[in-house]
Amino acid sequence: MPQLMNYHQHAELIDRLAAEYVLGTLRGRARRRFEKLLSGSIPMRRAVQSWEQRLFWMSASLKPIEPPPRVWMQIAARIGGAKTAATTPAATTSHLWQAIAASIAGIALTLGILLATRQPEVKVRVLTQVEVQPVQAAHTAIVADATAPIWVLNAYPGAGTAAAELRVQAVREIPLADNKSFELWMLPDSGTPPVSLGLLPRSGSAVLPLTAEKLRTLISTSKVAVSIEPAGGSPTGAPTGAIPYVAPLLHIA
Amino acid sequence: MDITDEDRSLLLQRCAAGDASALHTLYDQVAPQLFSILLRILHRTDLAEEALQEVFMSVWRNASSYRPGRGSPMAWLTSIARYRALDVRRSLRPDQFSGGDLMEFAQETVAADDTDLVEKASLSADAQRLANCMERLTPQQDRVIRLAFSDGLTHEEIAVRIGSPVGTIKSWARRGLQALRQCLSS
Repeated sequence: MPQLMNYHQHAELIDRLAAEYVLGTLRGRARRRFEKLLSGSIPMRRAVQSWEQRLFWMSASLKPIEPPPRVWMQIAARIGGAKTAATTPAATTSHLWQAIAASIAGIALTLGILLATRQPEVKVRVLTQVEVQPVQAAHTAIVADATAPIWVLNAYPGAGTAAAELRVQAVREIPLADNKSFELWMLPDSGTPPVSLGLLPRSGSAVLPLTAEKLRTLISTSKVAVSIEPAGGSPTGAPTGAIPYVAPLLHIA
Repeated sequence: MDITDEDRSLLLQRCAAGDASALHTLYDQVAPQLFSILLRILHRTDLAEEALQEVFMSVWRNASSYRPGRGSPMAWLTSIARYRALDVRRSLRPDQFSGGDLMEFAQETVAADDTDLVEKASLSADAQRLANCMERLTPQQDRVIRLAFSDGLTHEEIAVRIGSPVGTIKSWARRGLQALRQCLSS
């Protein structure tokens, strides 16, 4: 049994731990334990706030670095794009999306040719279907990071006996922990919550079925997003993890 | 265009009320500063971008827990960003800091030149007060505190970097913090 500390010693210990917590040198289990105690202790919270207030000026001397615009787009997508629209001058936003859409259309064209030449089996499959009935992708999106496309998405509305489906081609593999999955979401223009379209393949291609309801939503959606979820997909039906990618969905009349 | 603490405080109150346009304004004002902090600790742009996203989601969800009487909004925001970066850093294996050593070397060189720091004269009175108190620390105490706070290094990492035993690093950090508290409350 440790000796009981007097009030002064106790206050000193709290202050020392708070200082190390804020400095960041309190690590591992000690940090977790401190955080647990913090939520129930006003003196500890006060000590932490005092140290935060004392030390944060050290980072005030760092030169600000402008983050790329996609970070705000991803945040806006997560908190519900519709609500934030008012803050951005409409012209800027629409110009931005037009620019992205135009560059993506260009990439799509190039990539389409690339995929067709590199992977003849894809071409053959599409051609077979074309013979049966004219099937054309009606909605398309390219999910890309700053450097290059990652997934190409093509939605087919279905016709006759053919069901509506979303075909996904992974262009390159993005590293992800084994216990995580990439999940694709529609961000409906109406501002209603994101709707899952299914899990994205890490490599190769996949066909995601589109229910009639999802297809209806897809038609009035102009953005899709990819979130990082536990393996097998979001347990809640809404995105739970980070959203590393947002891409415009183009509707081909 | 500079905004005051009072403006930031009001923006946080509007965020707490669910006003997303307030979050956007706050983001425009403070994201570059927080991004700089995150990059400095995480070294990798992709990690810093993801962390920045999480920081603003956390600000959005927890804006109501900010109390203006208990510290400036920037101290609150900086803390959210730094704790997030420390969590991310801890969850990574050393090899996931690709080129980390080189980056650290480069950053140290830059920091030594002070080229990534804004002019001391342009800092606020409170920031200058901290800077003055930091100047009164021993060079070792100053270095350990900066490496921990700004670069997010552990005692062990600082020990390797400086080439001194961990116990020595711990005591430099502890004495440095004590001296800072005395200097700042005098």
